[in-house]
Amino acid sequence: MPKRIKTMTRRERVVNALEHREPDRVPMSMSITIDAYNNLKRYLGIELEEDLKPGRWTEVPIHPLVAEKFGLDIIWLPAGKPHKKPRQSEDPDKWYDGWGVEWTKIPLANGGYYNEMTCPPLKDATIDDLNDFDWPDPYDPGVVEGVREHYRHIHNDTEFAILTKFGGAVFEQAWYLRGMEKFLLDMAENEEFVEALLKKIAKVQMGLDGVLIEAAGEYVDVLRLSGEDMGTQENPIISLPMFRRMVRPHLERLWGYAKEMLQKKNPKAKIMLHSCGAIRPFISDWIDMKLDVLDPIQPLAKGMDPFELKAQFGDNLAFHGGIDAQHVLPFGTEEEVREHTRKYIKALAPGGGYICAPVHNVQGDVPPENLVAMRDAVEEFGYYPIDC
Amino acid sequence: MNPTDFIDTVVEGDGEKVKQLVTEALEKGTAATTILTEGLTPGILKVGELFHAGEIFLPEMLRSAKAMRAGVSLLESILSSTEANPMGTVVLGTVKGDLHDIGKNIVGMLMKGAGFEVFDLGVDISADRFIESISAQKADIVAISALLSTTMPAMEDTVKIIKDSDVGDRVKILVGGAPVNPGFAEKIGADSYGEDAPEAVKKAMALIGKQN
Repeated sequence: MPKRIKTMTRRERVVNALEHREPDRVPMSMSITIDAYNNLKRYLGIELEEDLKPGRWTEVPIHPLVAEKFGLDIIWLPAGKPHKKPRQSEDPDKWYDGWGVEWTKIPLANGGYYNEMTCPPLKDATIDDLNDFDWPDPYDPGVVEGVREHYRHIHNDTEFAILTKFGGAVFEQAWYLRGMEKFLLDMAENEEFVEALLKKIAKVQMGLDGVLIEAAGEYVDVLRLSGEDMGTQENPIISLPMFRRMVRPHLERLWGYAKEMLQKKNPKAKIMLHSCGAIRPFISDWIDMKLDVLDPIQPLAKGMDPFELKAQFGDNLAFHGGIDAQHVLPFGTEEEVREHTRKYIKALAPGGGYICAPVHNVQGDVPPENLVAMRDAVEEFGYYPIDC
Repeated sequence: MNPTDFIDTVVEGDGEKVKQLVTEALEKGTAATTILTEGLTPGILKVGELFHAGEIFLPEMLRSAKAMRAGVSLLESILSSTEANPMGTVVLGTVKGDLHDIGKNIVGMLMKGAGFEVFDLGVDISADRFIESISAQKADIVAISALLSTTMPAMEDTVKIIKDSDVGDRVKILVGGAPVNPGFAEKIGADSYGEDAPEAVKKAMALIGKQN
């Protein structure tokens, strides 16, 4: 079939899609947890010894050899680890992250484990306490250690586009630190505290963006600014007026800073927001805040129809994600995965502006057969011009 | 008492004003059960409706629930001494392996507001603990929540174990949580499903034949 000829490198495919030009084929991206990764490697017959160190969501970096064999166009790269060790727990199942949030390893029914936040360090804090809190230090030398070399290697020695996160969320980090219920109640009745907390967090994230973009920005194709989950399954978590008044100013400063600095290093680099749930009411604001790419377009959340989103926002916004992790990937048949992937390509890919990816780190309950079915559907339906 | 004042004040989430209204009503000789069933309960149900309709959001709903609790706290000692008959008894928890509880907590708040006696077991609850509590509290309903696709199999097991247990015939099972849908609820043998917290309360009322 002459139509299915690859004429671009993996990176060119991604860059073109994000520039809203039709590449040769819809690019594919993925993040994955350790059990799903090991299952996939086994399924693909890849014998590769790796010293995997799962992140806080049990996600692991995908080795370029696995990405190549599976067919990804983007590699997700991590930042460095601060030299300063976080607080240690005496309980072997509990640990603290660099922000002082307590996490606990919770066993999963089908084997493996997941890390869950079990104690927010600022749950009883006042505004004054925020000044004494032990905030992460963006200038810890470990943050950038090895990053430039690693990113340069992937950029120069492979074809992959690079996706990374440097500084992370502001709104979402606030509820990690405060506890979700407490923080949301703060938003309704303690606006001053919310302002002080978001300001402190944004300063750390901006520092991290600054040092890491300085270290390796020229190699970055997509900078993920988040997870900044703003939606539940049914509705936004907060109202649009509340977002505009209390959250947007902090994000706008942070995103503007990161984008400007990044594009000085790589003019084609894009900024991407990950925001789960029913978040449609915020999208116009995000475009106004110069967002380039929106992830993950959660299929089962209300109001997230991909055809409507493409029609309404597709000229100004590229999309990353779309492959359902709540039903189709873990519980669907291979045929359902194929049809679902076809639908998202049909909806989002015309004219470029779509990178196909699972909507979340692939969990251990996703059979590797379904990931392969997703990949095969991209091969089957993802070549331009799209006519599936 | 003027029920509209209570409803408006609970919707506004003004805890101090709710307490003031309750105090005034008690001073005027209004029965505690009347204040609850004609003032505070319609107030929190209205909050649920506004939330379901997307007119208010989690921060406002949490503030309203807090305000309502402030009002209920003034009535509790009176209500317990008069042995007010609750709407029904609910045992509530997240399923084994799932620690995400904001949705479950809101369901609990709204159910309490609607007049149910609620025993919130917390998070990461095994089938045996649910059964133990259903039996001890003589619960009419057990409400089970899961946020993760990875804990949905545990929900299926839990429902099955409860159904097969001694209490299986007399307790109704209500399930919910982001990845749960009506098809899954039916497949695993749950008696009912709530799309969000307000709907869970309505379904709970329907389960015990006390539709609002």
